[in-house]
Amino acid sequence: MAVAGETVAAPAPPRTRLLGAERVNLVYWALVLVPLVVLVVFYIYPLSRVLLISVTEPRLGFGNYVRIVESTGVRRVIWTTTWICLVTSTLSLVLGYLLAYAILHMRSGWQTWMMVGVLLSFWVSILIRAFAWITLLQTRGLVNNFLLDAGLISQPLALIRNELGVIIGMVHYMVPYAALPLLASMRSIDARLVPAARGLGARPLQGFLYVYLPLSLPGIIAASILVLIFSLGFFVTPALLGGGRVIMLAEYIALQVNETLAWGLGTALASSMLITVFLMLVVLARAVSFRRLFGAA
Amino acid sequence: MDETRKGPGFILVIGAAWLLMLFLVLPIFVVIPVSFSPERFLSMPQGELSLRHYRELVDDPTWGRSIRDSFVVALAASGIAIVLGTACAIGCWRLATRFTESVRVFMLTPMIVPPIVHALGMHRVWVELGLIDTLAGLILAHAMKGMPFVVISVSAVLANFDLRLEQAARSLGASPLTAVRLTILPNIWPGVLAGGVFAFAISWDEIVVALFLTQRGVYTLPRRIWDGIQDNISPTVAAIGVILVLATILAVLLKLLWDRWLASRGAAESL
Amino acid sequence: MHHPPERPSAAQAATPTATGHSLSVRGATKLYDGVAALDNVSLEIRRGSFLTLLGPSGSGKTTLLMTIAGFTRPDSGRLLVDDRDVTDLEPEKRNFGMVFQGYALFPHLTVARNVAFPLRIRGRSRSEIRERVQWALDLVQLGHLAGRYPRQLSGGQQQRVALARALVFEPEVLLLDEPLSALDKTLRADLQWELKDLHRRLGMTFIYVTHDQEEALSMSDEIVIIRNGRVVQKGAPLELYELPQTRFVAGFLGKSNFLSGTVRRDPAGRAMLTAGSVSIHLPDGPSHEGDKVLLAVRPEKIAVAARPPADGRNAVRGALVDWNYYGSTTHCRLDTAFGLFHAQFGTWGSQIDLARGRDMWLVWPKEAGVVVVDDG
Repeated sequence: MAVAGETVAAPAPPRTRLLGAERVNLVYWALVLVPLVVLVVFYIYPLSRVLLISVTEPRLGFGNYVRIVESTGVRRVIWTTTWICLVTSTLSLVLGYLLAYAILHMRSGWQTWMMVGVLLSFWVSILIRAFAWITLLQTRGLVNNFLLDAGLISQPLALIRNELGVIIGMVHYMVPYAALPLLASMRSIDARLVPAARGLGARPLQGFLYVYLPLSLPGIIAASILVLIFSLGFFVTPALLGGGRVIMLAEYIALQVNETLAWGLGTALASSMLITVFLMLVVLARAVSFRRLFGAA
Repeated sequence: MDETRKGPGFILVIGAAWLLMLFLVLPIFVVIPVSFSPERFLSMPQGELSLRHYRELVDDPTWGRSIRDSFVVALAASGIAIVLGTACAIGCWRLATRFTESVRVFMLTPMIVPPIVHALGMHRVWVELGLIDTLAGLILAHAMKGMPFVVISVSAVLANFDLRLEQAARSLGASPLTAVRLTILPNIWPGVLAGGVFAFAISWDEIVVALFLTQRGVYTLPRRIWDGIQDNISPTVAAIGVILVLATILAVLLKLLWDRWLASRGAAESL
Repeated sequence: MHHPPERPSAAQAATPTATGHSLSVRGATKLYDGVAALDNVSLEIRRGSFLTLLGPSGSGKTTLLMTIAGFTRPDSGRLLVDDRDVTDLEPEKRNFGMVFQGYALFPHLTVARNVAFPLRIRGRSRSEIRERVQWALDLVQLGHLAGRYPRQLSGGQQQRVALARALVFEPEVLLLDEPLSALDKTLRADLQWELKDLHRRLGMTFIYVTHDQEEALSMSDEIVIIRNGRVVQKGAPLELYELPQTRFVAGFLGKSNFLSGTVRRDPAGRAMLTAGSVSIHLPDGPSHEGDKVLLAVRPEKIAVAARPPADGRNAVRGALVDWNYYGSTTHCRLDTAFGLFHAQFGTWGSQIDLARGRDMWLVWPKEAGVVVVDDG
């Protein structure tokens, strides 16, 4: 302590205790702030550069954003991205809900195997999965060969390098992402409520519609926004299964930057994507407080 | 307690769930037969099986190198993510102010931002810092992506941790950092480990940032696979795919055993 | 033998105009992993009666209630409502009201919509629903909280909502699964009065599960004591308390002291329980010389005296171990030839000088004892 010699003779206990508490807090503040500073320097700063480039290159102003609105090419990409995202998210959500509900209500011996399946498909490399779907769906792939051999079709079907292939691959990737948060939210539903509804006269379907479904609504909102956010920025699967014919936003941005070196347009699109994602998160935050509304009790 | 009759609707749901499970899992296993095809192009083996694509993995030095690069990057990145993420989670938990609550949410940003967006920004900044196409550059980028998962899993464990244990250690004479080391860390390591494994897996499978930050100097496995698919869909990818799928199955089974062990440990402790 | 005081019997309580239904369980059996949760249980429940299933936890009382409700399927046995077989009906088709343990209120619905739920399911008209919900909420005095959510209510209020929700659709029978167990003692006592009052006003058949013997004694027309999946004894509260048939009932419903010995005849030919040098008069009833016999005596029927009684009352000597003062009563424990004895007496007006280790006499008239079967 940098205190003058004469005052040391009468140490004030409360004061030293305060200093001790401050030192503790200092240690914990360091634990918080060091990672925070690292994140800001190496992550948030690069993100802000994206926003900055979008209004400075090739020249200062909102020219890049005007181009987004005006260019029919860009508009087509945005339209493709939007509807593929919506279709994918809806399908993934419905299938993920079904899967989560079934896992939670099936015999516990089967539950383990279902969980192994879900975790496996969640963790297997995204590139290997895209590769597997190419193997299955390409013109001379397994599915077409099987259908041709069975005499069900005379010409190979176009299953990849189109929207169908992209959607199949994306749904395959997104179902676990929808199912896992739904599973967590369904686990928190009081298991006595549906039997209670039935005791009060509800048929199984009514018990589900009037009690289970509304109680799982916060989980549905959270899962759907998560899936929407992920599919919006999806790069690998659309790039590989779209085969250059179906171009979604992430791949289009990469093309702008790598092929045509149009950093301005690329970053403007990326910034728009970022803003959209954060708007969705605001909605999600509302949904979470919605969950708190009837979480307890 | 509820043994009410399962109606036809319920049976339909269970049946549909099994079909869905087949849709999720079966396509992944298609890599197994393809990897044993004797042909140079992508095909199902017709009678004759061959290990040529596995030999290719060994003979072509780019595969071995890419696995080594990926391993180094993932290990280092998850290490950094563990240290920073754990520190942040502990600090936020102990201080528990409104500001630290916001910090904890803020730390999750890299998980939510579409990869293409931060890939662009990092590319620009890394060029200026001279980090482009270096191991350090990719490690740093992947560490940022892995950190949120460590923060989440450590925070989850800390939420059930009794604050008084740390206070007890302090009252018995431990300094703040000693208290963290002796009371908090021994109790939260399952969360630290889980977050670290997550961070490792995220880095191991990451492609978008790698495409923007590396060229020839660093060549990760996902980039090697990406090139393998781009260039005439080489069946060698199926061979590496089989190895990755088997590794994933092993990891999932280990995780289940691990969960059981944790549960039984918890049960034993509560006795 | 005590004469039961005049008290309206269950049959009288159920007035001829009662809206309740009778219910009978015939030979219900349910096994879980080879262990019988219900072992050939048969019960007749009179229309309009308040019947309590009482037993320790794990005795099978909740399984029995869930079987009646339709959530548990018995392996064998039938369930009849007014001679109509409902064994194979799904719970929603039985038209029973049920108050669940922990209430199971729907957290996403307001109080009014929780109560309206059974009516909405039944497709009742909007105006009828409004009217019935108002009626049910007034019945439990919660009309002013109709717009609240369950989480905004106290435990007692949640309990009342659950009750209103179970009553609103005029079920044939009301099932209550430990409805008061989550509440504190004073609130529980208040709600016991209210539930009893409600039962009298509605004339409905109530089936009530509890592990609280005082609750069972104070509220029921009839108590069914269940142990290990079997009915041990059933009867009106007074009958069960005064004339337990087994050691278990005597010990579970209230407290009892047990004396075991052999039946002997005294010179006058009266039946005595003897153990060692001690002899105790048995209450009147058939007994055979030489039989092993178990006598139960309630603590509050035992007087504690400093000297042995001069008359022919039963007396056992014991050394005072310790005593607890409970305000209105004092409980003592004494070490006797039959083991540790409990005695209980009103504190006010008591002249006894208590001192640890002092020899005292435990005195009771022979009618205070009940011979019970020793079922462990």
